Amino acid sequence: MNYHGPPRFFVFLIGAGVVSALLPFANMGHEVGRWWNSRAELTEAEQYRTYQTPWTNAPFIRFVDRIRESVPADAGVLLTPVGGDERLGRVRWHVFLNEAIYPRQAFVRRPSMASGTAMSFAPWVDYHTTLALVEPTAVFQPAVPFDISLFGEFPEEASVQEALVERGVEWEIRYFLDSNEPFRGALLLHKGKVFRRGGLASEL
Amino acid sequence: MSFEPGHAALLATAICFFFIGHIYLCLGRPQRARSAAEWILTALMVGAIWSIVIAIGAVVAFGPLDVWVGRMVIAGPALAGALGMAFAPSMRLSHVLNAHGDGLPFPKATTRLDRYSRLLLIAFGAGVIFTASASPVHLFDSVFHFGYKGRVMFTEGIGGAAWTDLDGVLGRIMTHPKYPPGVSAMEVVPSWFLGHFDASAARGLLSIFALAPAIWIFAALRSRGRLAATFGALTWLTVPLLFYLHLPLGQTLHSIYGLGLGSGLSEDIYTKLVFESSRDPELTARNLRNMFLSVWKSPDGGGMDGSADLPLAACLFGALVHLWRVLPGNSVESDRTDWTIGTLMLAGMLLMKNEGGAYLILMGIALLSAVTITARGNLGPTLRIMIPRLGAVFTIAIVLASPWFLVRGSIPEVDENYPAQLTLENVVSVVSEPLEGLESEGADGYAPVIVAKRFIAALANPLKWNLLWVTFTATLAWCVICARKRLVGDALLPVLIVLLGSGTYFTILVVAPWDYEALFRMGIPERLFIHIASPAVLATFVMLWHAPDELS
Repeated sequence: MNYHGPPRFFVFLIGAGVVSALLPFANMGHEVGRWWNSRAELTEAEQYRTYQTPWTNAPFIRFVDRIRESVPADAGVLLTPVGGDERLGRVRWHVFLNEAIYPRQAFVRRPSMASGTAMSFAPWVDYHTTLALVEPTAVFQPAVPFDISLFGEFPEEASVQEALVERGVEWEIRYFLDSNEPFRGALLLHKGKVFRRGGLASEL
Repeated sequence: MSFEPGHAALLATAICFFFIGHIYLCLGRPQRARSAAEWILTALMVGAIWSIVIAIGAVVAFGPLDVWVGRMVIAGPALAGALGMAFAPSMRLSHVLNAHGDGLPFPKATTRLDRYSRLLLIAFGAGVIFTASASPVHLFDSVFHFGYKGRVMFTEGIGGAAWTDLDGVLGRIMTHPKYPPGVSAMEVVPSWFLGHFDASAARGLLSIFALAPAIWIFAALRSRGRLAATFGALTWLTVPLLFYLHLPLGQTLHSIYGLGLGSGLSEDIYTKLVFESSRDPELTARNLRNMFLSVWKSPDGGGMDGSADLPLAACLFGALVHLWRVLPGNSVESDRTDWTIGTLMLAGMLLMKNEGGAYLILMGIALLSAVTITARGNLGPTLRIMIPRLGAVFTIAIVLASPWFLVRGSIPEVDENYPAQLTLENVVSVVSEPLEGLESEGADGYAPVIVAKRFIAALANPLKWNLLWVTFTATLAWCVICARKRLVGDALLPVLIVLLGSGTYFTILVVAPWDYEALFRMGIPERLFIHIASPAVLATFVMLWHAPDELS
C-alpha cells in the first residue's frame, strides 16, 4: 500500500517534540543516578521515610509509632484539633493519622466535612474552635482532663459523647495545627484521662 | 537492592495477570496480526482489569477475604490460562503469534532513524518501568484516596462502616469515598499473595498503564508506516508528566515552576513573594518552606505512583483503540478479540475513576456519531449491525462494574458533586457575571476566560506535555482549514473523544464552585488531560499519516 506522509511542517514539529524529549530523558538518567546513589540499598519502608511530605517525615512517623505502641489495634480513636492557626492541606493531620494508625479506627466530629476536600478543611477546623474544647494554651498544661461539663452550652457535643459510647471509642488524640512543630504538646487521652503527652522527641 | 517479599508477590501477580489475560484473549478467537509485545502487554492489561473486577466482586459479595481465598480467587483463572497454554494448541503463544501475527516484537528496523528511534522507545519504556518500580507509594492521592481504600478493602471489605459512617455528628474518615476502588483492588491482589496489605505491592505493575497505550498506538499506526508507528508511540512515552518528580535543574527551578506554572499562580505573585521575603528573614524562611512543600502538592511524578488518572487513561484508550478498530470502514485490521478487549476496558474505566462514567457516555456518543458519519449512504444497514453490538458491549461493561455501583449508592455524598453543578442556572450565571471579587478584572474576571487561559497555559507547557498538545492543535487546525476529508476517516473517533472530553472538563470547571487557585495548585487541568492524551496522539498521527483508501 502507498501512504502519504504529512506536510513537512508537521514532520518538523514531531521531530522537535522527540528532540525536546531529551529533557525528560536527561531527568530520567538523573533520577536513576540519584536513586542508585541514595535509595537503592534502602528497604521500601526506609525509602518511604525519606520523602519530604507531612505524612512521611520523622516527627509524624515518630508520633504514629507512639500511638501504635499505646493504642490496641482494634480500638477506636477520636481525633480532635484543639488549636493552631494553620488551615492548609499540609496540616490535615486527621487524614494522615486516619491512614497511618489503621487498623485502629479513627473517628472525627462532623465527618462529612472532615472527609471532604481541602476546601472543607478550614470550616471543619473552625467548627472545632467554636466548641471551645480547651483554651489553646491549656494543652501545654500538665493535665487536661476531658470534662464533659465544658460542653454544656453545645448540645451537639452531648450527641457526640453518646455516639462515642455507642461505638466504644475510648481513646482521643488532641493536637495543634502547626506544620513547623507537628504534635508538640499533643495529648493521647484514654477514657478522658491523659495517657501520653507530646509528640516531639524532646517530649518523650 | 535486596529482594523483598513484596517483589515475589509482585511477580506472582504479574504471572497471574498474564495467564488470565492470555486465556481471555484466546477465548475471543484472535485473527489479526499482533506482535509479541502487543500480545504480552494487552494480556497484562486484560489480566489486571479482570483481576480488579473479580476482586471487587468477591469482596462485595463475601466481605474481606482470607488471604488464601484471595490467592485462589486470582490464581484459579490464571491456572486455567496456564493449562490452556500448555495443552490447547490454539492457546500456545507460538500459535497466536505465528499463525496470526508476525511473531516479532517489532517490525525490523531498516534505516538509521528507524533504529535510533526504536532505541529511544526502548529507553523510555525502561524509564517507565523504573519510575513505576523505584519508589514506594507516597503522594497524597495515592496514599489517602486509593491506598487507604485498599487497606480498608483488605481488612474490612467494601461498603461497611468505613465507607458509610461519614455523616452525622461523629463518624469515620474517607477522602473521596465515592471514588471507585479499581486502583485499590490492584493493590489488594498482590497484598493477598504477600499476606498483608502493602499499597506499594503493585507499584512495578503500574507501568503497564503507560506501556500498553504505547504499544497500542504502535500497533494501530503500524500499517501507516514505521515512522508513524514509532514516533506515535514515542510521542506518548515522552510526555514529561509521566516521569517528573523533580526537574533536573534543581530545587530552585522546580520551585519556580511548582509555584509559578504548576500551581497556576502568576509569576508576578512569585516575584512579590520573594521580594517581600527579602525584607523579613522569618517570612523568608516560611515562604521557602512553603515553596518546598509545594513539591508534594504538584502532580509531578504522580502518573505511576498509584493514583487513578493514568489507569483511567489506559482503560479509556484501550476501549477507544479496540472499538475504533472494529468500526465499519476503518482501514486497520480487526477481529472478535478487539470487541472483547474493548468491552473489558470500558468496565475498567468505570472502576478506576468517576470520570470513567462520563467517558462511558462520551464514548457511546462518539461511537454512534462516528458510525453515522462514516457510513456514507449505507446508514440503515450499518446501524442495524452496530447498535445491537455496541449495546451488548456497553451492557456487559456495566454489568462487570455493577458490584461497585451497588455499594456506591449507600455511600453519603461528602465531597464535590460536579454533575449536580451542571444546571442551566449555573451555566448562565458564570457566562454572564464575573466571579465575585474579580469584577474589576473585566473580561479576565469571567470563569470561562480564567479556565480557558489556564487550559492554554497548562497544555502549552513543554515541561509538562512536551509538544503533544501543540502538535494536536496544529494538526486539527490544519485539517479543519485544508484537509477536512482526513477528519471524517479513521481520525474521527479519537478526535471526537478528545474534543468531547476537553469540552466536558471545561464546562465542569467553569460551573464548579471551586477556588480556582486551589484547584490549579492541585494539578488541574493536567491530571484531567492525561486521560485524553493518548487518544490525542492517535488522532494526530492518523490525521497526518492517512491511508489513501480512507480519502477515496
